[in-house]
Amino acid sequence: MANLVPEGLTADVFNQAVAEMRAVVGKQWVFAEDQAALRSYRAAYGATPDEAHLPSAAVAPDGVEEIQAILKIANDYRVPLWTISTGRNFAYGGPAPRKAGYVVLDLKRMNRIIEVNEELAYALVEPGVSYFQLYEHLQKTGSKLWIDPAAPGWGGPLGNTLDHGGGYTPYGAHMLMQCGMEVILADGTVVRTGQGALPNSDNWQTVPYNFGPYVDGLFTQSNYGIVTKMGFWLMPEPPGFMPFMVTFPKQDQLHDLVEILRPFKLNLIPHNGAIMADLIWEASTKATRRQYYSGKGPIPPSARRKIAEDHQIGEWNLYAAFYGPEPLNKLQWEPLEAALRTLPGIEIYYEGDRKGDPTWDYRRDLMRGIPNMTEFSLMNWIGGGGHINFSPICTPYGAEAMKSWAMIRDRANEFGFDYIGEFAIGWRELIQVLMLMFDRTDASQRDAAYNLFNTLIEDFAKEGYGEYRTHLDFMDQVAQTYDWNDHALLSLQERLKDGLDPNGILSPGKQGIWPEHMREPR
Amino acid sequence: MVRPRLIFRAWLAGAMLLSASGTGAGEARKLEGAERTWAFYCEGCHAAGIEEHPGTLRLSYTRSPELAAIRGRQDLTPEYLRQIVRMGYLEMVGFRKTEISDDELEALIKFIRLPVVTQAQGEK
Repeated sequence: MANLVPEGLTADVFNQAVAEMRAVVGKQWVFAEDQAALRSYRAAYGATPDEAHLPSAAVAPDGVEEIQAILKIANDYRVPLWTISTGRNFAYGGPAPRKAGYVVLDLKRMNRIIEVNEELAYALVEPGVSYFQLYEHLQKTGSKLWIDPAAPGWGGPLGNTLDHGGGYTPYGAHMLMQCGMEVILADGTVVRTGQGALPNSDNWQTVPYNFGPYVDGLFTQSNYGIVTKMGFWLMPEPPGFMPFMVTFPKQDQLHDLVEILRPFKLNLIPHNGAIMADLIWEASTKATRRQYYSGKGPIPPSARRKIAEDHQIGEWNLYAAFYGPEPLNKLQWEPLEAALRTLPGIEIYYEGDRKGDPTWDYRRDLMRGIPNMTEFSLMNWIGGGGHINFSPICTPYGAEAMKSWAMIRDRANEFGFDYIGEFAIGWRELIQVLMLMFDRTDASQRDAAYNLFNTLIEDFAKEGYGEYRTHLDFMDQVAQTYDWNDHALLSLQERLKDGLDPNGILSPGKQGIWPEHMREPR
Repeated sequence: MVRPRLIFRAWLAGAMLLSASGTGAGEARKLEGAERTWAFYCEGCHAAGIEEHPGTLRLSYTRSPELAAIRGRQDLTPEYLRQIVRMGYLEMVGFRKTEISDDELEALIKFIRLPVVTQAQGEK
């Protein structure tokens, strides 16, 4: 029988629960003894060993009724269920549970595209639908609607949105585009939000804010329910698409770039979420560290100059696009272009200017709603697979961007890592993502990455910067930084948890929210 | 205006249908299914075209440009592929049975090991 057992359960009780789950979904959809099958649920790129997050079992239902039956079993025996959709957000832990021994509730089999409405430009999907799948569907049906994929196309719209993820088209703020959910609560009650609660309404996917409190957000980055359907808006194909890239030769031009962009972004120019990628993020999709530097410590300036020259890239590289009638795109680009051209040494590239550059190609495709996997080449920079994302938020002021960038760079260098990062500029926020790359086969690198991450959480909290999302290993630490008024927010989240899931069976510890019986005193 | 990724586009157009001779209808259907598995889970990293595909790029570094694209490679034994697809290895993650079932994996392994006949290999 199974080797691992959830905390607090005897092997006998657990085996009984597994047997009952098998009776619900069929024995081929419960994995407990098959160690190879269970290892496919590991946190493959994390800074802690696989064993820290290996499940005791995984169960893969197909449909609401099967989930309700599993919830009853989990409540009866107090089995912790860790819910995943496509389970492909690997830099934050992938399909692995917060703690070893949980049972993964794998919703990948629920992969129906329930509706695409061409006239109103929306979709309603199940958790297992991937970006590749939705893209395929729209192409095959001749749809004129675009998707907004995350960088790796094997992820999916439902899971990415629930984790507050983003994309690269004008619909890149996924939470803003989400509209209507079907959620199963821990006691098995099925709830439809918004107009979905009105029998016979056709407006479930058209009106996000409705009568009464807005509850959709409660089921994102949380453990209050299991989202089984989610609606979201799709962008109609625009008459024109004008992607561009700007390279900046100096590191401190980040300051000026952000100052220039802020007023434009407040007016939604450029139209999508602009990305500013640093030199190494940019280079690592087409070169390796070893090709430029084999020493320890950060890459020296001479090697950085060589990288920039070889690949015609800058210390910072801005990618963005305009969408609409071509003359209008040009008109809107003109003032931004004029402002950017005041910065010395910049180069501007358009479609066709960077033929054969895989980085331009994948960035352009992402901004055009075409899913791909090219960004995974980042892992080739040093090899060894390890990578976790540190993702703090700051305000879009040049000085703030420089400060938070230097804070990460200096700490990363101190712990022996390169700064590999990017900034995404939204309406009023800057989100920086450190791609903390390390050789996972080297225990000292793993430990250094883990320690660096914890140090950064503390450093940033002291300066008033929080993370918008985090890896399994750091959920408690990040949750503890949001501690205004004696942790009032986390206390509220815990009260909701206790009310909605009194047995604490749903994803215990997700985002630092633990059920009462697993909670540590603060 | 903008082209989809090379192989994914071919899959969408139904253009990659295999010309494997001597296969029965059931077998052909399985291989067609394998082509879709390949499109959804493998080709993003392992399609031919070293620059755009992280896995192909990686293997060009660690093995050689000739061994970089995995389709058609006879030295990758079914046993090895089974292990790697499920368990992953270093930069590659494993795939769950809910993503690629055991039957789909067997068909995928056959598909990967089929000699490559597409004309699109050289296109960039």
